[in-house]
Amino acid sequence: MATQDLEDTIQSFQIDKDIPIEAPLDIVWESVLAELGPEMQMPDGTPMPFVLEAFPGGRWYRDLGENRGHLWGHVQVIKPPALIEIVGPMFMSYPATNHFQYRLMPENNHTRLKVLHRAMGLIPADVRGNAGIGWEYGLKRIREIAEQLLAQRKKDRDKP
Amino acid sequence: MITFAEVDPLETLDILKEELIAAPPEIVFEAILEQLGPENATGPESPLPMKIEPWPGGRWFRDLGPGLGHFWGHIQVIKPPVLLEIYGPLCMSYPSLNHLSYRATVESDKTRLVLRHRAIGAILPEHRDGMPGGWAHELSTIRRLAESRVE
Repeated sequence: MATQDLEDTIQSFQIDKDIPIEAPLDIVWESVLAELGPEMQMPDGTPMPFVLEAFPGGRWYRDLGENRGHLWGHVQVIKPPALIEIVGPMFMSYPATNHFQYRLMPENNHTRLKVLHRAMGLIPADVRGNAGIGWEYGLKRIREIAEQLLAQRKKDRDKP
Repeated sequence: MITFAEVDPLETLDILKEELIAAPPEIVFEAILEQLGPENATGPESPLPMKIEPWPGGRWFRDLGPGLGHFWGHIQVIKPPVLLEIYGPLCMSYPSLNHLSYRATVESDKTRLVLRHRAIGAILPEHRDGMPGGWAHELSTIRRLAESRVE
């Protein structure tokens, strides 16, 4: 049986990152929901689509079909297009709780996207050390999706 | 009114139990869901029927009638017939985090079922002392239910 090298004392961590995205708020919001849902990928680029029920208390989970899957959290706050918060175990199969939020703010002609992830529990050292990698990739993905959406919208608008 | 008080130090709990069951994992998984549901009990003479919604995010709760009951947790992972994980408060009416897993592996013509319950919080002594016996009883119930189906 595989065992994890769990801590025997309660640990915590916080990750705080932000990026500017050259797109309006509504496009970035759409991109955040896409990246949390069908467009989600692992940091190596492997698709890992999720389902996000975009309402208060909605589930955020990996649907493996026939009622199988992994629940990562519930929507705690949703205020389009400015804020989404999720609370839950995420990928942690041990006593732990996570809270993260994406906050979107208009800035001049772009949108600043901030992510704040805080966790506590019997969190192993490698998880604490690597937690930032996934968020960096996630932010990059959201920017890519937003750029694609923006290009598509422009193309649709320019159609004769 | 806000009352400030020093809290009891947070503690951890780690219970690991296993049972070798003379039944295939599919039958054992069915028995786990039954034991967590209508067959749930805290001891031999202490039935405590619960409901479990067997899907990701499904509730595990004591249904006391319309709008009444006790919520014990949500399903975190469900992969029949090998893995079930639940997280939530369980029976702890105080700040705590619990994680419960049932993992089934095939061993010859039997199934080894490993139960692990880990928690953090201001865990009450009666819970710390009573839970190992409760889980042992639950595993024996799962074995009885599963083996009765292959006889």
